Amino acid sequence: MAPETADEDTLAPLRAHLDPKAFREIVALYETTVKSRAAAIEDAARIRDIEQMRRNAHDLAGMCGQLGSSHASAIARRIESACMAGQGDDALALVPDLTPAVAATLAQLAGYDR
Amino acid sequence: MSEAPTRQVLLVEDTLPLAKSYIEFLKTGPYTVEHVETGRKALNALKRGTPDVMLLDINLPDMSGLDVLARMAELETRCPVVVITAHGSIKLAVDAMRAGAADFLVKPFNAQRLKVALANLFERLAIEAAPPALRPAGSAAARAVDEAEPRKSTMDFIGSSSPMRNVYRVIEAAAPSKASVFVTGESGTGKELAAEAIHRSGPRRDRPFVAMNCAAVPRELMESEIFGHVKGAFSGAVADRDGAATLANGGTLFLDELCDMNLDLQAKLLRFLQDESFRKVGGTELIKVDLRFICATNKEPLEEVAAGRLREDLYYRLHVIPIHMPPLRDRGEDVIEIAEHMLAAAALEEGKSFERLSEDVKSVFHTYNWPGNVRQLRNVIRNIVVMNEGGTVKLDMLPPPLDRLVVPHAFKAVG
Repeated sequence: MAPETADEDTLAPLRAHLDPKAFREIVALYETTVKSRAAAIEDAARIRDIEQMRRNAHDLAGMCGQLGSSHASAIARRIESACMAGQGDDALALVPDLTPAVAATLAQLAGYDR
Repeated sequence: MSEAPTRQVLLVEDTLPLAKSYIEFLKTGPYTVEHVETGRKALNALKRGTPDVMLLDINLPDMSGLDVLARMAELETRCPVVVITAHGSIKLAVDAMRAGAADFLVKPFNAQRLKVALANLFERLAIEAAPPALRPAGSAAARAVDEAEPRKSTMDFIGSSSPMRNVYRVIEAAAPSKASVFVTGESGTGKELAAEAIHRSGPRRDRPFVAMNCAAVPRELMESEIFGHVKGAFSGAVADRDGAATLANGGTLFLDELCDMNLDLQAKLLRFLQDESFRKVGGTELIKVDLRFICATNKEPLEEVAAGRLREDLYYRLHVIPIHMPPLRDRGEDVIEIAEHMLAAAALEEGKSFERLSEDVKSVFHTYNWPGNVRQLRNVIRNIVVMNEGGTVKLDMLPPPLDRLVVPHAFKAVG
């Protein structure tokens, strides 16, 4: 599936208001947490822990949405919805799609350092 | 101009980067933020002191935001709550509003949207809390509320039921302000009357009140109707023409059936709301106006947002002071007061001698659910007066569908 058009990145405007150190800290916090939630989804998928998948997918969807990464956010949201609907197999099937989408989000975050 | 007071915000959000983002968003405004990550910590924080507003994520690790709202209701904690929901979770937002939340925000949102939502909320709270001395002296609305008369007539409203007394209070409180008002209610409940009452009770009463029904104007003409056009802007535009926005300058622009406005025009209306300036269709000149906006819909605005028919950002801009017009079936004795008032007026106009309703007719009026509300009642009364003669309205004079509520023995008793 082609990546969706990026939504508004709500983080970027903060750069104008924050001193560079504070901005880098918040970017770093997103990087760490996005990586951690994505890894937690993959771990939970391996042991079919649907509740953990749901919980982490919810967080990931919210963060990626806030960053304007609508493709990653949409996949995470679909994983969350499938988990909530008790459709564990559907949720598991979506996990491989998440990896490149999250990588794109992380690349976007890395771009803030340039 | 005095500075805005600093507001205490309790932010309940378990995803740390999001919480940090929201805190940063608010740093440029008059806010101090306390952040907690769970529902339990939020309830503990409320025990220590009540903030000016709580920003509450619905999805928390230990309990849902709805549970927090329920617990707050049990504890009678009076703190306005703005709930934060995920995209596609409007139903949860609706549930939260029903559980007492004052407003909602859908993730993701930017700094401006967050600050507009909070500013709207505080403006609404300030208006509701204003003492009577600050309200328009001698307004009919003020008299209706303050004198506790047995029969109330506020502007063109009739009725003293509890739901209507609430409406009068909000109208009275909202009238002196410029804040946008969002009127909801079924067809025939008097949404335009409410808008007119606000206009006539406020400082703009001597300026124009311009009403537009967005469902009644062809979509392709709506932009021109609101903003006007210049000669040659489109085929048929043979001369420059002012739109409702210009005609209402200094006064009030009432947009009825807002949810029927197409999305492109909603975007233009949003910019107009933000800037208070616009260009006529085909024009280049930026026109600045001073308007108060009142809009109305007979639909559920949150459902319209969820369905994509009403822009969420426009909803936030306009939904500063909500007024819900109650359906006639929920107005108790008002139905009889209104019917008697209409009966007298219709009898006078038609040269008839009707003076009263029989007790049986009153009983039917109480029983019937009035899907068309006051407008339907007016038509029923007019029908009775035109088609019948006498001093008392009796059961056998009732037109359809009310005649179907007349049980045979009651009919005999009357006949």
